Amino acid sequence: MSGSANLLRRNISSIFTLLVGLFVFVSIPSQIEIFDDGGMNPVTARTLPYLISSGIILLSLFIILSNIFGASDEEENASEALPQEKTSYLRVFYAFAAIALWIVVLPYLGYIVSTILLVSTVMLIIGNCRWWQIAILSFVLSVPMNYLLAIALRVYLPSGSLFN
Amino acid sequence: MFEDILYALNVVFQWKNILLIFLGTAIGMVFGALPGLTVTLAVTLVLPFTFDLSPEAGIVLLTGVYCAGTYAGSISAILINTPGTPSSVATSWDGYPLTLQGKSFDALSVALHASVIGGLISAVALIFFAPMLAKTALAFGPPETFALTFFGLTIIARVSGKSLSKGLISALFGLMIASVGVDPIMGVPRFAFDTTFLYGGVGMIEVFIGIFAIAEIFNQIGKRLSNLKPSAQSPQAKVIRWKSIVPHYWTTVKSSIIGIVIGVIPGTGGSIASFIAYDEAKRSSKNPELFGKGSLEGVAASESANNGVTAATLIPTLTLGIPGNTVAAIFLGALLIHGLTPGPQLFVDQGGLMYTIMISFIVANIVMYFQGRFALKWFDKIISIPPAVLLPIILVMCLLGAFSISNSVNSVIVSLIFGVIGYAMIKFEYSTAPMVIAIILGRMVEESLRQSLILSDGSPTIFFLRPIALLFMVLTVLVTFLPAIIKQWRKIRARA
Repeated sequence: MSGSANLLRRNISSIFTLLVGLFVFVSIPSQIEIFDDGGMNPVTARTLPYLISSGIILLSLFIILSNIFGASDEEENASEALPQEKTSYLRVFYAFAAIALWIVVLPYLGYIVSTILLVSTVMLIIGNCRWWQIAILSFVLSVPMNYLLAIALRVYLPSGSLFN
Repeated sequence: MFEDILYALNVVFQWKNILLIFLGTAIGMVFGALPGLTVTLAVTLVLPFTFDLSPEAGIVLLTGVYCAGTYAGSISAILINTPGTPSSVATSWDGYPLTLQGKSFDALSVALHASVIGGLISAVALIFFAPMLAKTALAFGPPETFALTFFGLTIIARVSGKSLSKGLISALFGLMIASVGVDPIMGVPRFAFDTTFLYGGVGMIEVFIGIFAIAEIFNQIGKRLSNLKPSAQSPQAKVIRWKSIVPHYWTTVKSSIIGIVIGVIPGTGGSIASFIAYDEAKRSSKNPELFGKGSLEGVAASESANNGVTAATLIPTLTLGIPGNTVAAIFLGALLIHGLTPGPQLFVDQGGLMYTIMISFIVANIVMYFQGRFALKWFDKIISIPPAVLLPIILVMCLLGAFSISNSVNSVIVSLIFGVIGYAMIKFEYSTAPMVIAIILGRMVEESLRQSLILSDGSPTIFFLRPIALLFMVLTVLVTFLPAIIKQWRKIRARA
């Protein structure tokens, strides 16, 4: 990996926090109203958000500059110590997509059907399991759980608009 | 005080609450024993299901989960060399070699006894010291409270990760999330983005479920998972042998006290306590050469220290409102959800509840002892549950927990978003502890800051003119800069 690409990789999280800090700072006037009291009150509802976003911006800049110009060992080590173990981000994305889909279809398909689909999908994504494990777990986490929550905790899960 | 203790005894020994402690310790034991599932995750998942319970019953259940989860981390550390919780790393150094020598049952027995003794001593320390500290803290005004919370957040940011800057950014993000919703003094909405859902702020439990549970599920799914099996070992009679346990009682008591001292300091936790206690036990041992090769004394030191932290970490939590670690932060969240604001005033207003928490620690440790003794023979079965079966169960529990908060998918969406944020934080090595603790302390930080500045007409000198506030400010500066100064000084000395 080239030097500039490596530098970008080390700074990517700090660039993101910097952008979030800037967004918050800029959006404060539109998101927080203050009442005109003629300067009687030195602190308003905007005071802390301004302090927080300024702090995020300054610290993010500090980390970025430290990485560029070579800072203290502590910061350098922390920034360089990016994950070394092999991670399958594709599997993580699939799992995220499965949960997001569960949220979308829950009102339409109801808890039982959507959870059977979710559990089966997640087990297939993880792998290393047998078909009967998928069948049993999908059933146990959907049908009995639905009635257990309704009876024991009075939490009523959606039954699905398509089936009503 | 005695009325409060009697009230607490009456509450804790109700059959329903005893059953909840049994349930909590069983859940904690399973979660703690399973590699990758932490006690924080267990407490987070149980929390939404305490909403329908009274504050006392909810806290009693959480206490059982917390105590047993902390102990059970030692089980997988001993049997498969994979610590169930970070605070059991030192246990694996001697526990696993003992398993390879066919002495796993001895190691598990010592771990159980050391954990129970550590937990009980810690609970006694909580009962004695918390009311004393609360009396002192009653004198705190807004400047002292702000200086204390500022110090608490700085020390948590300092010790919870490799980089202070990243820790501080994490804490600032936590404060920012806490500021969403209606402003506590003027009543104006902030960062609601024209949605009614954000008017009430971002829910704490949704954030906990996302940051601790869903992020951890993503983390586990991303790894190459394989089914874990305990190592093959020579058969050993599964009977507790007192001659293996009794010689280590002094080490256990000493390490428990180390755990208590470390536990009181905000931001520290079981991991630091177990390393320090292990080191001290090795230094003072008659057989230091056995450490790392299979020393029961090493197992006793590590386990009693990390359980010594459990109740002690609630001393600053209950008296000052500053959580000692993430589990204490969730306890704090549980109290807030039930409409109780932790701090010295709570000892005056809700003395009975405070003593209920303290006595439930003692009962939870006793229940944990008997449950642990019964389960010792079955632990190798528990840790063999494949991740492909376990993770979907936890995922569904997370989703149901989030859904039950508001009976809508909005809470699940918030949890999923924070799951992604938490996963990114794990990958980019941002500690989640400062963020979560800042979310809980956010309101207290803001109210005390604004009240202080109103008192001083906007001048920040108020934090340096009052002695207690000044003390915390000086400590904050020391915590921030002293490690760097010492490092530079050592470098200069080494060069010279």
